[in-house]
Amino acid sequence: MIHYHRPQPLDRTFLTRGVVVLLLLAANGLLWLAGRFVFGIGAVTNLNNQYPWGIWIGIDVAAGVALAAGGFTTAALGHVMHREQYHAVVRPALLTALLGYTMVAVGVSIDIGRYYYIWHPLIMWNGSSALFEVGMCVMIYMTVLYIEFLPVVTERFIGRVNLPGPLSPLNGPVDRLLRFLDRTLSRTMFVFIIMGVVLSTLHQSSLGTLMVIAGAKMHPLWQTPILPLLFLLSAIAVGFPMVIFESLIAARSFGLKPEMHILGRLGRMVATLLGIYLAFKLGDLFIRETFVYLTRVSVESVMYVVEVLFGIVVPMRMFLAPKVQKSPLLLFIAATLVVGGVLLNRINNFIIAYTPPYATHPYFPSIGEISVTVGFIAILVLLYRVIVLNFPVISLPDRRMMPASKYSVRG
Amino acid sequence: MKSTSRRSFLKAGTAITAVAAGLTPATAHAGPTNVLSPNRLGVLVDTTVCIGCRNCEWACKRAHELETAPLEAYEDRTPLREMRRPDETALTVVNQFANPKAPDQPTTVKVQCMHCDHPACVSACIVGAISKQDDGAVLWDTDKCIGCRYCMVACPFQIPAFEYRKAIQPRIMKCDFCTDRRAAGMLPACVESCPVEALTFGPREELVRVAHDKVRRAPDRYVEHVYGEREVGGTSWMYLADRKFEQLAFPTLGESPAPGVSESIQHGIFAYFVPPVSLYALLGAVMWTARQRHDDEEDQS
Amino acid sequence: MRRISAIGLLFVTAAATAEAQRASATRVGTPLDCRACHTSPTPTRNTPALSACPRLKITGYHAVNEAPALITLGTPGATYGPVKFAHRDHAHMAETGKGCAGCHHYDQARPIQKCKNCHAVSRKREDLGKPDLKAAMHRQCIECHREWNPTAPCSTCHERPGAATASAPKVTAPERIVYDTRAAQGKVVTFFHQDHTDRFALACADCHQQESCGACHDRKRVALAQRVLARQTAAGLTEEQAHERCANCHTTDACATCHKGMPSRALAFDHGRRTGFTLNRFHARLDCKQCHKAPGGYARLSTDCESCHKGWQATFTHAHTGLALDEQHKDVECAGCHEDKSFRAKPTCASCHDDKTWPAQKPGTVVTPAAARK
Repeated sequence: MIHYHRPQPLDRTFLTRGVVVLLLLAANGLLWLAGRFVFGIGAVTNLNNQYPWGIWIGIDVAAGVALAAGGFTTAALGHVMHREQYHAVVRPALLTALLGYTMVAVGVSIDIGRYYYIWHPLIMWNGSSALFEVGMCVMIYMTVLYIEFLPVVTERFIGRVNLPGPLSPLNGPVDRLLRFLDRTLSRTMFVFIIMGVVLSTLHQSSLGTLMVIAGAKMHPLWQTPILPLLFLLSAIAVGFPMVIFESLIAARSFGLKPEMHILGRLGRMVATLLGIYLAFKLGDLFIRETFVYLTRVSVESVMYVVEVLFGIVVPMRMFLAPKVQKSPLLLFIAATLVVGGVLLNRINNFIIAYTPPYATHPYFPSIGEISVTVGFIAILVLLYRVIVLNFPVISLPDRRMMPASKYSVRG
Repeated sequence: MKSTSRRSFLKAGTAITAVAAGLTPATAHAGPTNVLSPNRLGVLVDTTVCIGCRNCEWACKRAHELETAPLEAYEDRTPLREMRRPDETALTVVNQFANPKAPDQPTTVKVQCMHCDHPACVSACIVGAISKQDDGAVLWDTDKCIGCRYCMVACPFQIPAFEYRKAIQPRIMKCDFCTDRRAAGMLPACVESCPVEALTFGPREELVRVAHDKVRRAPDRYVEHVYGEREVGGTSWMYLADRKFEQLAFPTLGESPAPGVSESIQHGIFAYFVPPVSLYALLGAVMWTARQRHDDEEDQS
Repeated sequence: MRRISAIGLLFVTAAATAEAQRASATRVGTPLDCRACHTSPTPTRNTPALSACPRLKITGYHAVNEAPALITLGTPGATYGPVKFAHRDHAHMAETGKGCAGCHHYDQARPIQKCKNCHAVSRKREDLGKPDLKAAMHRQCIECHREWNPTAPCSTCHERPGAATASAPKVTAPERIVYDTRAAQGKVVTFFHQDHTDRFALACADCHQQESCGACHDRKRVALAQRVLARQTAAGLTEEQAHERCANCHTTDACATCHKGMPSRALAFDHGRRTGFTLNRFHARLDCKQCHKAPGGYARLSTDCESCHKGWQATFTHAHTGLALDEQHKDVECAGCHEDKSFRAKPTCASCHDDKTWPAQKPGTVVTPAAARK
């Protein structure tokens, strides 16, 4: 039996008990953030001259980019390889990526000392800087993501433009503009989709190159010349688990039936991707003979083992089991482990592994830093909720038995 | 409809490739040049001569208009008891180490930016705000800096400091080799203020020669190692000492330039934009074939 | 150009050879810097451009009392005034230290060279190999002054309005010094410093040479010799070096003279190393007093066998040495083969035989000493 799904705005109330909690967390984060803008970064964070980067970079940016990888992996699967059966998850993944990258951009802006100079890299280039490449790619990719998301907006408003009072004469032109956009986009969308995939591979890997320059300041368990490759492989591997994770949470939250036939198949692919990642990670461990550091019990060795064991090995085994592919709970656990593993990997790379030579005490994020990061994530979830309630993102079974989507390469 | 879309696919693809190819020569020159002048300057620090008077700290603060106590206050040696690092309030500090040969005369070591020949900070800076000058100095440009602090992550000597307490225009603070003073014909403030000339300022090549001469003439006084001559590809500031440098809290670094690995990865990924453009073309091809197969299937059904 | 450098090389080689012949072995192999002797980088045969080399031009020394009493050094600066340097006092003190050359290095000549003849006045200069004038003078003073005052504030030397001029810590000559030596037996050596200086009217410099300033100007007022000893121990002096200062006078004394509680016949006493006369297995069995018979000490004895073994030669059985002499050699005078009186050197054959050498040919048969005794 073939299910025909059509994305449509969900008909649910916005305000629930969970949303209130999220709103409080968001407000708390914004309050601390205000402190950063009034009194400077030092007043809110535990950053210092030894530890210039904290969780705002390690989690908001590095992990944010990695966990938004669902956008390009599903785009590659659904559009580039043209597997139509996965189209139902492409839009939610796209929205997650869009919001994720927006958080990355905002996260970077608040972390840099001179947020009002955020545009400088556009005209001041340094080709040898990994950060420059990450910055440029993220900026362009974010634009691409917004373009990819535009059809969702046009679809929502075409034929339904209803501007209030004095602006009503504009209804006609706006509608024509939307229709023009829609037409143009449907013809050129593939350019942006491929571009999105290419840009993602580039900056996902360059995010790994970032820490290579720290050299001996980074613990040997993580410091390797193949860091960019490991970052890319882990980003590819975490893409689908992130989609599964987010899709199952959304299904639960909105009381929908989980799309197990898609998610289970995605899960099977994850096992292979994790396997490749694990092979390179362990290969690196043995070729560089850094396993000797695992014989000593330290924060670093424990974190490494936790990351590899619970972030890669256990979920890989789980995804291979047919039982897991059929059970929403087990699938959710496996996906969460991968997401947590990659999150931990980014934290490890940017914070735990970074051991500067003259630090007197290790870095631990301040309440302000944690509040802002948690606040951002809360805002992200709230925005996701607002958008899926108002725009056609999540696919629901369609009774009208529509043929395949009109826009064959639309997001 | 379908055929139009396929034609435009090809057209747009070609256009993208052409744009990317057009970018190549421009970006090839975008990075910092990093050509080293043979006349670049440097400072040789002889830690066996330094008496820990901290006049250099005072002179540096004066020269850079940083807040400082009067010179007499620097005769107090208690700040030497704790290990300090250069920060946003002091671009150079002197640290003290126990001297087993003469317990009453501890060894003192001045710390500041080493002004690397192949600086990691210059390679790392997202906007190219840090640059290596012909005269050897590694300088920071306030007009470009966005305050991302990647230079601090990159620096193998852990030198750049950041004004964390400033909400507007925080600066990256580090030794600027007294570029303004030198332009006015003066010596760097620390060099000028040193009563015993533990800091010798001059052309780097000459200083390397002088350093090796000193070691050769007094092998009992020095270890045979000029720190900074080869570390991370060479630094403008170099040190002599009577013991292994790791005992004086110097980082043990190899001879290859700090940004080497990172830059070769970076340039490998972006070798004249060939890898990204190839990937683009490959994905385009995959997408085109996948679509065609899909259309054929549809036609058949 | 090549020729000029060849000639230059010739000069350098010649100078190096002459230097090497004169100087000790440590200097051999040290590469010479042309500029050490030549003022020009391209000296020629006709104009070798040799610089005045103070080390080789010592024209005469002068007495300390001829030295100027007070010298004003430096010019008044913004913060610090000039230095009134008590030159004669320092010169007197230098007698126990490194002498005039401690400061006037490479310069024992008259007239004394001015510092700025070699040390550039400006810090911006061509030759970075030696410190500039300011640094050279500061280093000269600070190196000693830091020893007894590690902080050595500028006002120690520089006149500064309102600042008290610090003075060097008093020299405290101790009455006695108790050395805690590293000796296995008789660790404690008590040296009566005042008795020695009074009784023998010794000046400081009579014993103290090459001493550092801090050894006497002890800011912690610890007995100077204890500091000296501490340094010596830290430096890991050999036994000979540690005994040197006392052994200058106490040439023939027994160890127990200084080392209290040491038995008169110490097992630890290495006769060979300390006296140059290694005891063989027969002598080692003897009590010290059996040879050192004179009362009150262990005076150095002659190492001639005759000095103890009177008339031994007439009754000596050569087979005890492991060699039974044959008929031809039995009646030869001992000194005929053993030319030295101590019988330590190899016997010679050459006085009688042109074609025989010891030990290839032997004047008898080899026997075991035990067999000979039977």
